[in-house]
Amino acid sequence: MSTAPDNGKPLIHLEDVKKVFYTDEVETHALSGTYLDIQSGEFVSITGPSGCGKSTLLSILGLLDSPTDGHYWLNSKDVSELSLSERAVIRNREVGFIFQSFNLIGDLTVYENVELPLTYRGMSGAERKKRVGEALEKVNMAHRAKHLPSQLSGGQQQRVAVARAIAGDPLILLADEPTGNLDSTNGEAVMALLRELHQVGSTICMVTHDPRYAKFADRAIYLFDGRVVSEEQVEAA
Amino acid sequence: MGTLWQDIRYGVRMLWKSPGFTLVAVVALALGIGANSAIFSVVNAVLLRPLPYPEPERLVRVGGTSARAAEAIGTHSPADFFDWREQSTSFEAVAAYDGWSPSLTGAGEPERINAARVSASFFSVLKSEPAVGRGFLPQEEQRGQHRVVVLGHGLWQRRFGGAQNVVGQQIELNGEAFTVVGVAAREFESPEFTGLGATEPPELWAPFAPDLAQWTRSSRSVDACLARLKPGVTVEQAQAEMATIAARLEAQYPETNKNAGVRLVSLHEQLVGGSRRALLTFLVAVGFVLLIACANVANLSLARASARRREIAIRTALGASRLRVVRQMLTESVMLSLMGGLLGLLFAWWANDLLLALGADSIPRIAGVGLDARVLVFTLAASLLTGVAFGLVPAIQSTRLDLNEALKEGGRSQGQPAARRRARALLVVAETALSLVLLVGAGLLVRSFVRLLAVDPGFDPRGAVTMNVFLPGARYPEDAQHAAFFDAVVERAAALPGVESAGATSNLPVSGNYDRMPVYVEGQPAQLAGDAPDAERYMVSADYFRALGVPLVAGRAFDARDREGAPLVAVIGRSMSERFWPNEDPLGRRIKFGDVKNPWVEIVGVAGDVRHYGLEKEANLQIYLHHLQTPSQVMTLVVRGPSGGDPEALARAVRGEVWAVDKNQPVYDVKPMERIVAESVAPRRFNTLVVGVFAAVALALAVIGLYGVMSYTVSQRTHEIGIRMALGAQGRDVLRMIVGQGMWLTAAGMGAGLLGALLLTRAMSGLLYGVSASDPLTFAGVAVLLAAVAFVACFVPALRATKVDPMEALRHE
Repeated sequence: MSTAPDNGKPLIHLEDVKKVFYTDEVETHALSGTYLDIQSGEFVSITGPSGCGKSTLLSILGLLDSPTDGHYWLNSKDVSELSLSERAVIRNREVGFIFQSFNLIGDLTVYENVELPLTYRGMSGAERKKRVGEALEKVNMAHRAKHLPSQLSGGQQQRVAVARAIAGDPLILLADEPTGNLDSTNGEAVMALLRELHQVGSTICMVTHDPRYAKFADRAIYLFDGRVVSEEQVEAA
Repeated sequence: MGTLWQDIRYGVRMLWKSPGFTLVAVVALALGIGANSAIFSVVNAVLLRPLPYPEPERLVRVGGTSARAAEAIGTHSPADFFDWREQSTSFEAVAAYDGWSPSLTGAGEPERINAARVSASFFSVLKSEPAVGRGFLPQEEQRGQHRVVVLGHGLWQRRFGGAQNVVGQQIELNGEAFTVVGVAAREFESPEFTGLGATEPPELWAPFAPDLAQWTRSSRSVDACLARLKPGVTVEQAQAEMATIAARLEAQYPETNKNAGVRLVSLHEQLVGGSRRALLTFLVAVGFVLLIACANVANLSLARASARRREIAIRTALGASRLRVVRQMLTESVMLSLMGGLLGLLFAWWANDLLLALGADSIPRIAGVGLDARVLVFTLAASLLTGVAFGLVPAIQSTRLDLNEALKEGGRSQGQPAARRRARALLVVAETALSLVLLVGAGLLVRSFVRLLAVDPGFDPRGAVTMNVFLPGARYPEDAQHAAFFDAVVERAAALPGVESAGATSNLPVSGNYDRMPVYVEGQPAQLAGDAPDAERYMVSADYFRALGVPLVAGRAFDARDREGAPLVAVIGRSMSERFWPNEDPLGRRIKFGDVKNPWVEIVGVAGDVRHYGLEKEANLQIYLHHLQTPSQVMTLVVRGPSGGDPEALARAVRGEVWAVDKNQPVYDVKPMERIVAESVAPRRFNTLVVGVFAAVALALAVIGLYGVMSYTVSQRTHEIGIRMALGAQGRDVLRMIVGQGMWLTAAGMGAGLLGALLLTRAMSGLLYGVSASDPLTFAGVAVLLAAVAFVACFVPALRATKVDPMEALRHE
């Protein structure tokens, strides 16, 4: 996991970010002036009730979507109004995603799924091989490299998704309900894995509605009606 | 390169995973690409392949023109040819070419040979060296020294066993001895000017040495003149020079050369130009088939892209740019199209044999059709382009997605986005429009063909058998001998059991042979040869009209009174009667033809018009003379047997009667008259068949496309249909909704197609007969057909929709 240069500025800085969805003649305000800073090396959880804007916020943080208004600085660079292709490049190099439903490609093997973002980066074959191997080792899935996702359990699939997220050595890992599709045992295991990654320096931002897992983070952010309404430091679990 | 290999590997996996989709797409593309490769291989063989001579672009045909047909390049007189050759400076070499059909007698069975009389320079014009011996010497154009021949390679092998010592041997042609001086190279292809593929190319050549005393300048007896332009001289420059020469000859010989011009055309254009329009029409037709196939596969790909929405979203989330995703999708499309191209080549290979078998009599140079390097490159290019054409829209569409939604779906179907629905609908509209244009084109050709077959040719071909007999000058030097020979043969044939009537004519209708001369009418102002109208001249036997079934409309046919030495009489065609004696009785009037110095001939009868140049050409002025008064050296026997009888048996019996008169006399071109008529419409039948087959394929593809879209729509709307039915909708309501939606698409496609057809079919006017390019009946018929088939394609999925169980549909969701 790469780290942002320590220039005293936060890795992520949101300033009055708004997101409005327009469907027919109805405006839906998913984010209504959100301010947020995430420091490099921090583990932040975002919680809140359904429809409060958690996933929208994470999508904007991951550059899957762009704000309707406001500014977003990632690693001191304003990424609020980038083109689609510029956002794709940043997503590929600086963001690692972990989804609730794993989002592995069913027709690719474990190895190929982890290799995919590196391929898009134009990395050499030898380098890709090295990184994929390391990432799979980290999540204890190297022995399943040639399997298809359908041949793995949910917990194993999520570990592969974590390997894919970290293989490119991103600045930040964004996890959207990473335990949402897992039973408690596997959920615990994935959270333990995230904590390990955090302990070796990864910056993680996780959306969850489960207070048990929010406690794994350094800081818990509570979102309501598209606004950050409270932030608190979390006691070490 | 490494990532491309990854794309390919993944593409193979995806195609393998969906065998149904892959199979349907490959077969549809194979049909489209294969049809294009097959037709391109014909275009390549006919239009693109250079003529098999060195520097073929310098070869031209020089021909005569007349005021009546200023644009048509035609025959010319021997004297004109010699003047052209002497006075022109634009050509490196010039050669006359005159078709000839001598009988090869002596050793073995008598055999009629396709041959040509050519100038000594013929082989040097074409830059071809004989394989054995030599070509002709200039002095062999002189009468007395002209009895030498060059054998074709095939004839040399067939009749002389490929003997090297054939040079110097004597052979007998038409009873005269000729010395073999050479054998043409095996690969030598002689240009052929007397037919369009229907006639076999010559396999023997003799010097062109006409007896100028026998041929006046008004007799346009030489088939063609072939020339090689000097290096640097253009066709236009040579044309200008020849026009000057023609004007000089016109001034010098006003009686014979009035309005007689000269026209040059490249040899390639001369040989294949007539087929260009039909071939281009075929290319457009197969182009449409390919476009429809593309639309079909694009539609399938769009449906498949919906199912791959999540995969694309993941790739995009992981940092794949739109271009990169499009590239992945296009890689798969191009792989599909390359597989289609490969299968298409097999299809083309098979289709080539079929086209060769069907089109041998219709398209010149089609014998050279095959899958050469150019066809392979074309197929590869067509495959690559096709892959991009049908893959681009689905590829771009697949990248237009809401990442958040797509990633959250968890594989659950969310229906297809509106843009994708619109794209699929547009593709169906386009398919329908294209197939309608093609169907209208095919419909017009079918209607033309039916109209043509319904044309009254002016004779009754049923039951009539024909065969040619040529009397060699050496054995039958006198006119009286010709008359006596054919008189005897016709009399014997008429006496055969089962023969209803027997006759003979110097030129059989629809056979391609003709004898046209200026005609002069008594009582009308004296005319020069260039002004007098031309008439077809036939020397016939007394019972010819009955034998061929030509009706007599006034006066009498020939009979026993019309012997040699009796007053010259003629039977004329109805058109001639109406032209010169409208509302008057032509019987007893007098005409003369050929030369104003010829004797008058009295009209004793009027026959119905006969379409001599094929069913689609109106009859010209026609004059029949009795062969006993104007004998002919070559005649076609016409023998009518009982309708439904065995033409082969009848032909054998008649041939026996010819040989009873002269056992050395070859009888050739034995054919039922019905087959001759059928062969005359072979090009049109071929055109109709080819476009018809492609239109049928287009219709099938379009209907499959429509069916696919409607089926997909039903599967996507199962939940909605379930709700509707839960709310009380009846089966007929659902049926109406689904069929209505499909028929709206069909109607939109038909509207666009009808407009397109109105614009595009104009270009086909030259291929039509008896129907206009905007024939309302054809347009309406095709629209009804298409609508009916589209209705069925919509009805089946609609019926399935009515079987939706509301509970099941709602639970499923």
